[in-house]
This record gives sequence, structure tokens and C-alpha cells, in this order.
Amino acid sequence: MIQGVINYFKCLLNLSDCKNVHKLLFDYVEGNLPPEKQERLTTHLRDCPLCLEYVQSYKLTIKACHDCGAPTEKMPDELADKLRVFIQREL
Amino acid sequence: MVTAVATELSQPNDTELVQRLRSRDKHAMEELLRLHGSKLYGVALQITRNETDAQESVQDALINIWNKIDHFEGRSAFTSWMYRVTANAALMKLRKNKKFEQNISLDAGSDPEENLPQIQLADPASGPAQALTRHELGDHVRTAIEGLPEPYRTTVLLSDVEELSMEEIAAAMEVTVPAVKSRLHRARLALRKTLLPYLKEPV
Repeated sequence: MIQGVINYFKCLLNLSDCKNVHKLLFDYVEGNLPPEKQERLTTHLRDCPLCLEYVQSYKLTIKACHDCGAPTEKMPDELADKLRVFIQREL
Repeated sequence: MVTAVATELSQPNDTELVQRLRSRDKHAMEELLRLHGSKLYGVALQITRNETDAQESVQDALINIWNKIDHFEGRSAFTSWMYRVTANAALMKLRKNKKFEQNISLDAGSDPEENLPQIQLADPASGPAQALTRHELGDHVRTAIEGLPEPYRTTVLLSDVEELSMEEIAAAMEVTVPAVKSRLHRARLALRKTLLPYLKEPV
């Protein structure tokens, strides 16, 4: 509880870093930032629960797309038959 | 070199398949079709959103896999390489049919979250706090991606689902890498907003 209040006030004092998280989010998550900027944002995330939640939900979105976004359709049997003939005759 | 390639392949079946394809074994192509055909079709259908285009894309992909198997260096899994070949074939089809017209301006504003419409999903019936199964989350994720306007839908599909590199996407969609990054970021932010109630680790 007390830690939460402390973090809240830390966030208020570090609004420029909060803005940077939004501005640099893509490159931060992709690991494209220069090491010192990357480290500065990582340090900020330790102190700012709001930014941490934002970054984590962005990362979880990417993970959800990767893990669960793949198509589930089954190839129609007629197409599979047609392609088998194509492979034998045309390749 | 051959050993290094073999150890990096995803499955023993794929290692054997690649070797047989390299020795021009057409039965290996049929085996590939049996094992991976549905996934290739799914990738093509997801990108083209048209059955005829998807079917032709899979056929084009098979031709490319057959002709370019020696280009596969084993640095990624064989399945990933095949999916990339298929995604590229589907993109070529889209490009040919000129289906890449944007329906949302990329330059509409400086705030990336302002530009995309909110995607509507059904209310989370079981409550947002409850973790979803992978299957349930998958339904929400695919619906959300499907709800994105072009070119954001295709960009996020190619990047975050099919894992093409930014450079590959830029080349396939005939745009710059910074444009791909911008589209991808906006797509992710729109998806994040939509999927937020469901974003827990799947059970």
C-alpha cells in the first residue's frame, strides 16, 4: 500500500519518462533503442506501475497474436486432390 | 555444415523432408502437402480473404518451395520458411489484384492510437479476470485481427503471427521499413485496446 503511494508520486515526478515510454514503446519492445535509453526505460518501469502495465499488455498482445493468431482452417479435400495431381504432372 | 543445418531443423520429419525435396522427390512434396497443407492454406486464406486466391497462392507457394528448396539454409525452422514462402505468394496475389488500397490514412494524426477504429468483440462472458483457454483466446485474437483495416491487418499478420522480418514485409508490400513499423505499432495498439480484457496467460 505504502509502496503503491510512493510509486504513484514517483510517477508524477517522472512524467517525461512516462511520455518516453509511449513514444519509444515500439523500439523498446523490439530492443532497437541504444543501450542507455533501453536501460533508462527499464529502470523507469521498475518505478512506474502504470507504464509497466502498459508495456506488459503491449507485449502480451504480441504474444497472443503469435501463440493464438494462426489460422485454423483445414484445406478442402478437393484442393488437396487437385494439388497432388499438380505436383505429379507440373513440377 | 550439413550437421549444423540438420540440428536447427524443427523436427526429424522436416529434416528428412528437406533432404528428399533436395533430391527432387515429388512424393516428398505430396508428404509436405499432407503434413502442412492446411496450415499453408490457412496462411494464404488469412492474407487474401478469398478462397480462389488462397488456392492459387498455395499452388504458387508449392512451386516456389520446389524451385527454391536449395535457398533454405536451415537458419529458421523449415515450417517457418514454408509459411514465409506462402505468405509471400499470397501477398503477390494481393498486389496483382491491387487489394492493398488503404482505407485508413496513415498520416491522419500524430497519435498512433487515434487512427484505427475500435474493434468490437463479444463481451467477455466469463469475466475478464478469468484466464481463457488458448482456443478461446485464439478466437478473440483472430476476430480482432480480422477487424483491423488494411494495411494494418496484413502487416500484423505477417509480423506477429507469421513472423516475417520487417524487411521481408516491406519488400512484399512495397513500402519502406519505417512504414511497416508505423503500421505494425498502430495495429498492435488497436489490438491491445480490444484484447485488454482477455490478455492473461492462456491456461
